[in-house]
Formats: sequence, C-alpha cells, structure tokens
Amino acid sequence: MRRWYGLMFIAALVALAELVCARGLIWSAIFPAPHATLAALVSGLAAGDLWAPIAATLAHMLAGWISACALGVVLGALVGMTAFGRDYIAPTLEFLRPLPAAAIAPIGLLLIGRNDAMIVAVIVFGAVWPVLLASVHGFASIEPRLKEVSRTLQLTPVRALWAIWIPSALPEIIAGARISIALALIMAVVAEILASTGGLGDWLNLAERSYRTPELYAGVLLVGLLGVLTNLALERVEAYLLRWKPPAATF
Amino acid sequence: MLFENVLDVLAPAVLDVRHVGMRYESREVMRDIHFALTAGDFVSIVGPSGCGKTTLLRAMAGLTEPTSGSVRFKDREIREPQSEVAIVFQDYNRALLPWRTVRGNIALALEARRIARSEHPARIADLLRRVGLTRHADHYPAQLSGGLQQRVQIARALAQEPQVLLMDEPFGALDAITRQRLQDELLEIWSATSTTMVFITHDLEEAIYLGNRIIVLEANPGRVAADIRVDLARPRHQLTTREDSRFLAIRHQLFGLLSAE
Repeated sequence: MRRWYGLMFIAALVALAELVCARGLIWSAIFPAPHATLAALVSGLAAGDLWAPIAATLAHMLAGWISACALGVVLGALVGMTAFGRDYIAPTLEFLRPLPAAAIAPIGLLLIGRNDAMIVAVIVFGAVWPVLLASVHGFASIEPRLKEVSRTLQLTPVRALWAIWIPSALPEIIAGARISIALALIMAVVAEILASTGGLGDWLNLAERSYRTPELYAGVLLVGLLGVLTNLALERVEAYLLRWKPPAATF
Repeated sequence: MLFENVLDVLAPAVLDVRHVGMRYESREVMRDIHFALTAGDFVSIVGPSGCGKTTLLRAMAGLTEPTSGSVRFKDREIREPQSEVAIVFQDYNRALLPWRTVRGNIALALEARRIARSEHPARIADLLRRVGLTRHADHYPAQLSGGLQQRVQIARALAQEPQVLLMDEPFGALDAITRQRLQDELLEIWSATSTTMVFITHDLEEAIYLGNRIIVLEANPGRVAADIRVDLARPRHQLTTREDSRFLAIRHQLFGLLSAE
C-alpha cells in the first residue's frame, strides 16, 4: 500500500492543476491544463511527430553516455592504477572538471558545427566526470591482498586487469555511470536546443517559440520519462552485475 | 659425512632459507634465520607476536625480499613469487574474489596456469571433492562460513599444484571445532600429495599436532630459537595424539621456550 502513496500524491497535484486551470486562475498560454498536455502528447505520438525527436534524443544520450563511460573508465584506470596517470593526467582533469559543460557547448558549435557529433561531444564533456571520478577511486582502492594473490598466481597484466581490477572497481564504476546517464540526458537537451538539428531539446525550443504550450509541456514530460526509464533500466543492470554482493542489511 | 650426503639425495632440500635478515629502517625484524625444508615435510613455525613469522613466510613466498641472506627454491633464488610455491593467507575474506563463485575462484589458479578451459570442470570437481566443497560450488564467498571460505583458498592454492604450500595462520580466525576439522582435512590432503607444507601458527598444540618438525622463533629481532622433531605416529587423532606423552613433552618444551622471555 505504502508504495502507492507517491503516485497518489502526483495524482493529487495533477487534479489540483486541472482545477486551477478550469477556474481560469492561470493563463492557459503559459500553463495548459494537464488534460491538454496529455492530449498533445497522445496526438503527437499517434501522428508520429514525436517519435523522431524521442529517437534522436535517446540516440544522442546513449552515444554520449557510452562514450563518456568508455573514456571515464580508461582515464580512471590510468589515474587510479598508474603513477604516470596520477602525475601527468590528473592535474589536467582537475582543471577541466569545474568548467560547466554548457560553457563548452559554444566551442563545440565553433569547432564541430551544428550536428550530431557536436551534441555527442558536449554530452561526453558534461557526463564524463561522475564515472571518471568513481573509476579513479574504484581502481585506486583495490584490496591490497588481491594484488598479492595476483602476484602469487603470476597472473599476466591483462588477465589481472579482467579478473581482478575491473570487477573490483565495478561497483563504483556503475554508481558513477548512473549519475552520468542523468547528466547525459540534461546535456543532450541543452545541446539539442543549441544545435537546433532535431531531438526533444529542439522540439521544446520550437514549441516555446510558437507558443504551442501543450506540446512544450508534453516534451518536458517525455524528457522526464526518459530519465525515469533509463534509471530503472540501469538499476536492473546494476543488480545483475553486482549479484555477488551480500545484502548490506546483514550487518 | 657420507651418511649425510645419502640423506641429502634421498630427501633433497626443496626450500632453503639462508641467513635471512630483514630491517625496516632502524628496526631489525629478523636476524640470520637459517634452515632448509626437506621435500614432503610438514613444518610448523611458532613464535610470539613480533618475531617476524609473517615476514619470514612472505620472504619464502617471494612477496618481500629480505635485506640480507636469501631464500632459494631448489637451485634458484626467490625474488618474485614462483608458480611452485603457493600461499594461503589468514584473511580468507580478503584473499578471495567476492565476485566469483567458489568454482570461479578455484578456476583463477587454472587460468593463471593457462590450463585449457575444457579441462577446468574435471579439475575443479576433483579439488572441490578434496576440500569438501562440492555442495557449495556455485555459491559466492559472502554466502559461506569462514571455514568454508578458507577451504576455497586452500583449494585455489592446491589448483596451482605447488611443491611447497605456505600457510599463514590459516585457521587463526576460526572456531575450535571448525579448526580441528580443517586440521584433519589438511593432514589428509598432505598425505595424499607430496606437497611440502609450511604452517605458521601461534597455537602450540596445533603446531605439534600437524607438524613433523617445529621451528620456534623468538622475537626482537626474530631468530630461530629451536628446531624440534615431532615423532608422533600418523595418522594423527584429535584425542589420542593430544594425550600422547611425547605430545605433552613437546608442549612443555615449547611452552618453556616461548615463556622464557
């Protein structure tokens, strides 16, 4: 029963908004009634207008996130495991990290142009940090005893990497990757607004400019839905990959 | 002299600890430790804390290099771990891969030796049977008790098919009943193979019960205080062996040596 409380609260908010709009307390050109937003969403999906932006945003977000994860894990392994990475690479990363990704986007436009590659690049720059930092920590905090096990078994470096280092860092990598995917969605929308070459960001921008308010809110709803669904999917992947972990509650 | 040479040929030294000393900056941990292990022997090493037992074992495993003297396996000096010398750590909960099942943990040693995947199932089944883990093959370490986890580590070490098995207080963290059961299983494994065993413990009775030979270390710095032969009949028995007058005599001797300081 308890798990439904959250949904009941949302339903109450929607009902309240419906009431406020019906009474004409808010100008519907700024805030449409929930039923109008829902109608725009349904007709957009039925007519097929919304599928292309959804697919584009999903593709941008996944391409950017996967690239960010690959880059983050490789750099994280270098910095976390090697003196070279710590001495040479880490300072540069420390300098780049506080730069807001949105500030990088205009440089992306200039260097790459208005296209998908620019959008993906901006997403990578914005979303790489959580997975990178988590990887650095994950690789640096390996159980020292396991390094000795690796030495006494005389594992080759490649085998040690796959059998010991990566699985040992995996819980932290996944935790970082989950934060990164949320950032990837944010950056996808921001970059799409800037590039105006399609995607839900572009859709939102166009809807706002032409006062198609219900469509604007329908787009926002879809972006939120994408966030919720990708998070749920990653939760499942995490539970599967970390199935060896003892339940924390036993302590 | 001739007689000694004959003995050398019959039972050659497999691991040779030669005047090993260890210093960390100004602190001397071990001084001039010198003994040789005969192939197939079961040697217990006892000593008070701070006598460098673990440091000595790590030097024998090639995990740390002594600051003076050397450790030799057969004819070569040990500076790095050797595939013929396996080690079982006391902290099984940190020495196993928590993300691999029992089967997977044992397989790690086979992978390290580049044994064909097709041979893994039969070899693993055999090892599981020898350490009594057959029912737990697909469990993760976190699902097992301490005694079972330590069996996994022993099985992984055996999968290396080592000539020398070094054990650092392997049963130190286990309860008395589990400990006795594992002692007997270890003796069975030892008698079924020709593996040379080196067993560090702070439990005097365990040292006598298991070993053919006990090396007693004293502390500050760690050095050999005595080297005692144990002439108790095998197979050993948890009750009768421990009640044997020779067992008690050695226990008295060890107690005297270790409480002298």
